[in-house]
Amino acid sequence: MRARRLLSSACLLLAVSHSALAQTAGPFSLTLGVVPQFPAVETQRRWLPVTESIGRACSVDIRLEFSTDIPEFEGKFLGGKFDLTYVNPYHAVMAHKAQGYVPLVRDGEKPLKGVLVVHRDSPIKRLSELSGSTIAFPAPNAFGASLYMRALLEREHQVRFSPDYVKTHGNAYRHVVKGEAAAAGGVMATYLAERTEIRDQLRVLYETPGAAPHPLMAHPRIDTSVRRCITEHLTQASPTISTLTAAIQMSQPVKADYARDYQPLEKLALEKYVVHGAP
Amino acid sequence: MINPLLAGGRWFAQRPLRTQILALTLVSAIVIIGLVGSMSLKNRLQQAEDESVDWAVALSVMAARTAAAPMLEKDYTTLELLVHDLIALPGVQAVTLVRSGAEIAMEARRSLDGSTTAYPINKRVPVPATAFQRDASHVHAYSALMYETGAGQTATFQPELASRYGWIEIEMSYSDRLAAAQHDWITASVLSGLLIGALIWLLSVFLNRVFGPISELAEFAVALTSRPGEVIRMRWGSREVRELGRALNWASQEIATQINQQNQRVTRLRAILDTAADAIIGIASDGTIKSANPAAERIFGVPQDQMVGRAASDFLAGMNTSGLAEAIANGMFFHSTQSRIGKLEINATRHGGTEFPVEVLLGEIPDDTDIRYVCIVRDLSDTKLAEEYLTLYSRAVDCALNGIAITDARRHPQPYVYANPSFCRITGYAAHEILGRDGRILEGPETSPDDLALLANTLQSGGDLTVVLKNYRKGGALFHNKLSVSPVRNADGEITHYINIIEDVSGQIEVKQRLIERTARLNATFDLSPDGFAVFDREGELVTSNPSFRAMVGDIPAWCSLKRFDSWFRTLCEEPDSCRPIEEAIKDRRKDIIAIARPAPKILEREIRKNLGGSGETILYFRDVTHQVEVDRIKSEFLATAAHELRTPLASILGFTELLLHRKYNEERQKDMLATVHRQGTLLQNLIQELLDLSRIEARQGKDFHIVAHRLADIVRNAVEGITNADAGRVVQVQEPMEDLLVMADATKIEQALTNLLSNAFKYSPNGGTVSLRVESAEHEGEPVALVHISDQGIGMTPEQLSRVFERFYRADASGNIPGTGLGLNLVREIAQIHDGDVTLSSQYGVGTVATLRLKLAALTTEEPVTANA
Repeated sequence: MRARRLLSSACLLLAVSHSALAQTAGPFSLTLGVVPQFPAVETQRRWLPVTESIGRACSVDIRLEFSTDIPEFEGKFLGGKFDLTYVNPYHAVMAHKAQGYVPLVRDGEKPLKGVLVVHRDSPIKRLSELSGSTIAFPAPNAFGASLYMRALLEREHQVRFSPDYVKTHGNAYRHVVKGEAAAAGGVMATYLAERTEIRDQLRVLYETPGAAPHPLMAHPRIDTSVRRCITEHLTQASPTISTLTAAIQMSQPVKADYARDYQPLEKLALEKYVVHGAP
Repeated sequence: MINPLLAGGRWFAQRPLRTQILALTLVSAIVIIGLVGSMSLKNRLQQAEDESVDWAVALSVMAARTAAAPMLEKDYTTLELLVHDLIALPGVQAVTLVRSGAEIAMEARRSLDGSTTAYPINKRVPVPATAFQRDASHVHAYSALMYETGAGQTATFQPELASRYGWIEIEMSYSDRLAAAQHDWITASVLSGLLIGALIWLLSVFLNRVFGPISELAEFAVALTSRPGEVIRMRWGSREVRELGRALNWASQEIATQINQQNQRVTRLRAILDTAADAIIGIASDGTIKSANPAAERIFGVPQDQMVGRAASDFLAGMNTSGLAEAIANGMFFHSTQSRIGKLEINATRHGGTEFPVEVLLGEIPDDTDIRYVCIVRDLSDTKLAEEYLTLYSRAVDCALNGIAITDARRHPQPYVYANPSFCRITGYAAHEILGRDGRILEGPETSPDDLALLANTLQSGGDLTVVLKNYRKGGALFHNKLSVSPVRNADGEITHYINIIEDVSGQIEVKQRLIERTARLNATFDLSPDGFAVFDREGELVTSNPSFRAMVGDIPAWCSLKRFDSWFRTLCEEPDSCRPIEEAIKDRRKDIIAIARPAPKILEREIRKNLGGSGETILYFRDVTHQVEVDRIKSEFLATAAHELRTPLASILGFTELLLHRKYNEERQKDMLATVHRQGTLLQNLIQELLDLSRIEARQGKDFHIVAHRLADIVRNAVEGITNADAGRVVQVQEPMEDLLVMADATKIEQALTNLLSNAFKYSPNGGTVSLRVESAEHEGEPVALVHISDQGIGMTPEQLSRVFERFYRADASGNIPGTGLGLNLVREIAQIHDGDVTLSSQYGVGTVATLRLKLAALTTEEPVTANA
């Protein structure tokens, strides 16, 4: 306890001294890349309050960098363009392998679960009945909804199907509602966030095992004191911070650990299911 | 048949011009507003409907361009956002997206909580033929998702394009727009109505300003004669109207000036007539009254209007035609006016026939055809009555028993200006000796300066006062003068005179003084009397009670009336029922003997008197007769007991002597009987002797006792020797050596007392036993005393017997076997108490009795005898 206090005090002194240096030299800038799940405007609306809060706390200037689609985004983080990046779990593995990105925080409330839904009135009761049918997915490399789900369907359930990538989770669910796909892959969070009238017409057929949710990662070139400051700032028990992080799908931010949270994904060999160049 | 239109027009034409203008303006405004309003409403509704159609068509074109790409990509999420944005627009009720082949891809409809979206499967609709369709409240606008137009060209709806690429249908309601248009029209109409109303009101005000002054001038002109001199103020009006007003004002003032001059003359004359104190009557040549002033009404008691027309002779005796002419003919002739004035005193008749004296002045107006004579009548009743009353008051004051004098307050030192005969009689001065002098003529040495100062202060302050002064008559004789002084004020409130009324109250004061002295004496007697008195007044209220009365019955309650006292007093009685009510006791005036239990047991003698001296008072008289009744009772009881005790041995003597006289007995028997007679005779003798001793002691209370200092031992030894009889076994064990005590005593009486006590000791020891005697000194209540104890071992007494042993004739031995009179111990106590001593007994039944005689020790140590009285 005493040691922890000493450590906290030292960190605080470091942060203060760094902050003082930064003030004398002017705040240095960091770039943040966010996986393009939402339109750029929506991404900015959700993330700007968070970056401003971190900037005030850690005396840094964080600038958002937008990507029009996933391939562009992947290309950027694989090239180490972002100082900070918010990625899906498989992207986390890719970024770590490619550039040594370190996960700082992730949501600790619910694990990331992929769901497979069918129409409420559909006669399909088992996964095997989906063989030969069309299944809608948001994107080929979406981790929970597509990548992880397709790997499990094929590898563990031996289901052969035709994937139809329809850009978004909402489109995937609506394709099932409209009868244009027998099933759709998504994640539990987006499924529960759907409009009631859509959700009432769907039925969950299958759920993947839980995986650690999207992490906020930092490039190893970023000073550890800054990384620690960001981690401590986002994980502090404060209603204000909780409100901000809820908007970026981290209701309860906790400190992330690559070895514990994301390294197990390496064993799944998801590379086989990655579609390079896909949006 | 009258044409109603014509009649109405005529009626309207007769209305004031202002009303006509207002009515025509109002009707015109209503007609114009109705026509314009109805046309504008129709146009406005049509415009709202057309705008809605244009808006819906334009919206469908814009939405089609946005939705085209997502439709091709089946991006339902984007389409859903678009559709929901459209539904949120005002008036949009539903949006339907149809893909090529006329199959519905998505349809959304406005709902209460936002919108609902449906994705029907394989639902198809017909291809629309025109860009829009509309009904009463809705418009359906259609737009193909793609148009084959060049840049800058307007997209025109073509059914074949819609069928090929799909289309969007927007259903829009324009009922809200129509309602809003209607609402706007109503608001505008109301505002227009209000504006026109305000304009008409302004017009009305203007017309009032224009026509109002003309109406006022007309009314003013009509009222000009009734209100001359009044001026009209033109607040507003045209130049012509103001000139007309000025002309009318000038005319009004001219008329007013002339009328005022005339009225002033009439008013002056009227005022003279109305305020005249004398009656002024106008009489025609035929003798009838033509006019009368208010004074005539007041004097004759007949209203003015009722006098007019009646003959003058009805009110004034002899004033008929000939009488009037004669009075004028005999009147005085005045050269200045060349006319005659008749003056005469006659009797007039008032309403009701009462005659009263009047003075009449009669003048003639020859030229007046209406009124020929003017008659001025002056009522002489008050003058004559005042003269009579003045005479009466003067006589009354002269005849008054009290002396009355008047002093002049305006002069110093206020001299007498009038004195009546009684004043002269009381003071002894003649009127001429009084008048001109002041009150000091009556003062003398004993006249109290304080009373005079009080009188002076009262006079100075203008008040009135009654005071009794010690004054002196002319010859110097003192008398008590009850003087009452009252001021007399004039009309201004100023004191002009003082009325002095005097009364000789010397006799009254002397009687009052005597009465006070007598009352004081009676009160002292009343208070000191041992008998109780209580006096109740005529109404039964307690007036007074003396201390003895309160001592007998206790404190009388404060609320006590005679009736309540009677009830309360009966509660004090031992037997309330035997106590007669006071009302009954008053009637027979008999004395009552009443025993009361509270506040202390007493026997009271009550006597009641009423109407003493005619004042109606009730006097209760109570006398305490407790002691007297008790003495009477004791005497009666003693006599009865003594007679009984005397009769018993006498009966025995008489019985045995009678037997000896009439029968023969042997000698022994005779001797025995004679011994009995002798014994009873001796007993009788002793009884009588003791009675005589008691009687003597009681009667003389020790005055015959020769009390001197004696050695107690000598007295005791004499008594013991006197009773000792060794043969009979009567021996007294005297405790030796006896103390040498010197007591104050009558030796003979003390010896008699000791003998009685020793005799009793032997008598009540029938079975023998030791009788012993012991002498000792002791203290009683702080004084040295000698005690002689005589004890026996006889039968003794019970506590009850012991408690009664000093009663006269009481015998502890009720059997009669022990001889005795029952007076011995009582005699011993009487002797002891006369010596300031006492005798006490203590006894135990069956064991014996101890009698103790206590005697006071003598202060002297010598044996020189000293008498008790010394």
